[in-house]
Amino acid sequence: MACDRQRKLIPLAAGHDLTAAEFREFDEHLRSCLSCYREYREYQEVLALLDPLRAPESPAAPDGLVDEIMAEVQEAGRAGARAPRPGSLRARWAHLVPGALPIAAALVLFCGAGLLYLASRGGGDQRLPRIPAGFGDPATRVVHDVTPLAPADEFGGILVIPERLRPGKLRYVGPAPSFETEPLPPARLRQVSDRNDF
Amino acid sequence: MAAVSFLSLRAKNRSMKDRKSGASEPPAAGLATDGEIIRACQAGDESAFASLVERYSGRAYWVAHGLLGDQDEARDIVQEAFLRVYRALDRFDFDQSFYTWLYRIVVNLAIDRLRKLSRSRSVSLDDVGEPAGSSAEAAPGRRMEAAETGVEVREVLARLPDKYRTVMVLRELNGLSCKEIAGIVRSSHATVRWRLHVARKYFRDEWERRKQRGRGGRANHGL
Repeated sequence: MACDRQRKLIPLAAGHDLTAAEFREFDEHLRSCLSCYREYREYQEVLALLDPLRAPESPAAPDGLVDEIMAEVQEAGRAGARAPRPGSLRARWAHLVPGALPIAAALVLFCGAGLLYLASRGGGDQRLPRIPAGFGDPATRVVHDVTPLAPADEFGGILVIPERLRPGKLRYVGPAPSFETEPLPPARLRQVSDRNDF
Repeated sequence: MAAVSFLSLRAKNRSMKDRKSGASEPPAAGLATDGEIIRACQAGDESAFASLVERYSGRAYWVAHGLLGDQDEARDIVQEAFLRVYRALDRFDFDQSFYTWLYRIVVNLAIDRLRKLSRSRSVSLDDVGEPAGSSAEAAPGRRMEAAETGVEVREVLARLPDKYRTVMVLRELNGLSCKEIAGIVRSSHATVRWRLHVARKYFRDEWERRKQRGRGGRANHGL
């Protein structure tokens, strides 16, 4: 039984890959088991065949290899495969704080998105709603739970303000999916309706 | 008696084989660490990258050569590996060692190349052994015999499935520890030990089969 267990360790033992505890046990067994010892030596002899193929302790690169690699790298550098050039902003950032560049980029994106959002809130005139053509079928008109901004007969009962959502906000409710835009004064609503040909 | 010779043999072999990969050694005084060199590369210093190439191309070449058994293919793989390193250096993870990363790229590229070549090609005598004269002082007859054995050994290695050949080459030919290999192949230490166990067993069995076939062939020829 012990022999079976130790025999399984022979391939690792032959290459000196046992733990200290495994080695103690294996060593103890080998002192009393000729058959395991013979197999262990056989493994060592076979593995010794690999000796001539082993890398030297400090292997030098074959002649010309370093130059070939650097030529490839410089070629890639010229093609812009990798960015930072000496003195570039990216290089300086990378040198100072590794990982700062992605954080800064995320911050800029975040601020940009915020500014865009604020701009869109203030620029209602530039963002008039597109009312889908072909609407107008009275059966599809929905004026429900809202207060009309203007008399229903003037706008066909279609442009409405959902007060409980956001007072003064224009909303189209009709056959197409609903959408919202920024608050518009009643005078502008007429322009909206004109632009959308209804 | 057996135990005494076993222990002395073990001590001798350990000193031969368990050499450091060299990559994890601290650099000598005055030399920059890998981390310092990589930061300089990231700052755009191309000469810093050249020193990385100088430092690791030899070892990377031997890993590739061990797996592929072909000098030209190994050169190709090392070039490609360094090019990939150069392109990805900005994203280098300083928590891992540079050589683990480089060797992983080399191993993966070499395995891909092996699959493409499907290893149908036989190993040539020119491809066996060290590129620079390893046994210049040996007698010509002996050198020839050693080269022939080398061809056979390479053929047996080439028959190992990829994952077993990888650990065998990294451990036996390049002297990396199981722990280092685990980092390179992204497996656990136990898995690497198991693969090494299987690989050595396979290598030994295959070698024995070849020897028996050879003896059988010679005996038949004699009749």
